[in-house]
Amino acid sequence: MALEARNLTLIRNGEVFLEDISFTAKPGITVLVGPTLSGKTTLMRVIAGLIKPDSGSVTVNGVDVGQISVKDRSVSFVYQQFINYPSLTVFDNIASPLRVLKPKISKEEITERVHEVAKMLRITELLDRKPSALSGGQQQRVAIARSLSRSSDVVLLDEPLANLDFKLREQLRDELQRIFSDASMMVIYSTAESLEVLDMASHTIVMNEGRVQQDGPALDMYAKPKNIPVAQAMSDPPLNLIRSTTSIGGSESLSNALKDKHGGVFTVGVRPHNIALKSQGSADIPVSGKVRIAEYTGSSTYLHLDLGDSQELVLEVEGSQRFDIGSTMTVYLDRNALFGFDSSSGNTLFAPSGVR
Amino acid sequence: MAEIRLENIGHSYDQGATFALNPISLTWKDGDAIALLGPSGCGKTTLLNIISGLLTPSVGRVYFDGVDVTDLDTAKRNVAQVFQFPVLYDTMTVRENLAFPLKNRGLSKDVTATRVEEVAELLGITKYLDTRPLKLRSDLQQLVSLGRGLVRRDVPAILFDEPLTVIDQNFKWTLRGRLKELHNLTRYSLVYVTHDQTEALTFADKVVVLNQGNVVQTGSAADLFLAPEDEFVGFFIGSPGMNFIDGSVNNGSVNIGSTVIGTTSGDKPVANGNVRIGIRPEFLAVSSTSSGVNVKISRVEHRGGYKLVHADGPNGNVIAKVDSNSSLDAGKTVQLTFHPERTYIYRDSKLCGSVNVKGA
Repeated sequence: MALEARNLTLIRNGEVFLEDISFTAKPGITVLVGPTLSGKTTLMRVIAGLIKPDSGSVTVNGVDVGQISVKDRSVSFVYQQFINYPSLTVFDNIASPLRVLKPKISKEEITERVHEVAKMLRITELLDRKPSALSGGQQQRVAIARSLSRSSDVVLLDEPLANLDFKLREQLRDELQRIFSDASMMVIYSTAESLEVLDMASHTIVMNEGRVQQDGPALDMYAKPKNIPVAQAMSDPPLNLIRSTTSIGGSESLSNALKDKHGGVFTVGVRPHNIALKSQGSADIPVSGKVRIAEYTGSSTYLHLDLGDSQELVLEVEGSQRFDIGSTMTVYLDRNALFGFDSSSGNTLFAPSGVR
Repeated sequence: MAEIRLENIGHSYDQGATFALNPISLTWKDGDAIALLGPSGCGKTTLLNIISGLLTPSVGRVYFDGVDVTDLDTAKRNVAQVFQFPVLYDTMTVRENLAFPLKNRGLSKDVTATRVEEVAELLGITKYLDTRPLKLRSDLQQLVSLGRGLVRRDVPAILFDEPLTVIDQNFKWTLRGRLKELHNLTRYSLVYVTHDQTEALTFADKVVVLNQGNVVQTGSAADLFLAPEDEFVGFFIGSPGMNFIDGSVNNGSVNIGSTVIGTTSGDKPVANGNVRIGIRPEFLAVSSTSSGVNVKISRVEHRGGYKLVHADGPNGNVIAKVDSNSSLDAGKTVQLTFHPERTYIYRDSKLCGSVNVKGA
């Protein structure tokens, strides 16, 4: 069982939407991550057969779906904006895909199947209600339940939690993982947020500008991103990117301090939690800047430093510490947690060993 | 900018059968940055709409600097508003968009031009003044929307309704920081509605947490994180939220199952009976020690910068947030260690004391 995309390309009016996309999705969840307009939705629409690619193919369990008419494809699609039939009860919403199945299935089978997925999504007690009487989170559960009811081979979830509360997302992510952990279907789940990717901890495909940038387990790409777009897609708070020419005191620059890792001028990447207020050892690299703002979350403080030359550094420190806005301070980059990227191509030159 | 005072404000959408917002009284000083935080349906948008004048409250009065504005419509209240989606005219340049509210009020060309330049400078969008807004990134568009409110000098407050909703992750950080910096610079009165705890906590000096039409706690990020007064706050703030473990109090001793974890402390004695022990994942340690509450690790999630250890205990599951290089594995039986200053007792979902942890 697998979904295989081979060399998918889609160009419209000279604009490249998808370029040579290839990947394999096995049963269970495959996460598709990338910023807005990176091509995630377009790719899902191609997989669903709603858009025909200029070249390339999608096969599901060995069958080229381009040869199957859209209505006969075994694909379900859940959108960011939850869509349910307003005049139908939750039961009938979930049952609707089952009622158009060919060959027909019996009423008893439909009822049984609806109850089965409703139980999975914890909405059994809502089956008699109309969607308008439900909260946003409940409505999205119904939409997901409907997409699961007919046991499609492929389930496409396009940023399904984006319109929901932060806390509700946390909860639903947990549930989706539970529901799909031993599913036989291929589930493609798209998101623009790296927190979701690390939480889902599944096979992940990073997209940017219509191309697959990297493909693999989420944590591998967090630890060893191939390039800047992947590192960015896997970092929240965002990865700091600074020029290696940045002065680190006296006449020394980052380039100098890192010349054993890479010679010349490049871009240095460092995650906010790998910068400390006090030196942790002689291998640390001091950087000075002016305090711009301090943001507090209760558990930690995000300190924004202006390094001058329109460069900024954000560090994450534990607890709620007070800082004087405008004052100058020195912070310490953990040398063993630094990334190096080629400044023009964005490709990774070096990455920390281990997961930093 | 103005002091905002809400006097016994409440709202019902069904003629008083149920209240979406139960009557509350609040005063925010001139220059405060306030966030209204809660899940959908908690009443936060209702409250914001009452302040902006989009909604007339069923009960209570709204005062801006002591003046009763309850019966004034939005235009007369003169508040600046930033919505989820940027509201801009794309037939005009950024400069013309910013000038529009002033032109409407009949201000002279010179005054308008100077003010537009001032506001653009403040927002850091000077170089986009002659661009059409839809050509800009969404975070810049939101700054222009904000600018349209700021050009008027006499706005009592700026209201934000989930303004980062459509902004990409990386730029969310940029824009959020920009808003915070702007507040530091100007001390405008700001009210910000969101369901996202990070946005609320980082933006505001004071966060008002709402649930089911009630204010459950008001405080700084540290207050809400370190000492939640209500189980809902413990759950809603923090990611993952606070652990709550069933326990009991017996003559001052605090127990989980048959294990004594410490004694009660706090202003008031805690009566005997069942309680819930609240402790955040950040303050719960798991390790092999000779005594303590036994739990079995069910799974370990590696989130990159840290790990989450999920464990099954005698009274439910708990989560501990541990260092990224921790070597704990699923299947192992370990003991819980409670933080001596951050272990709380809840009863009927309200904070009623804290635990003086044994051996700490």
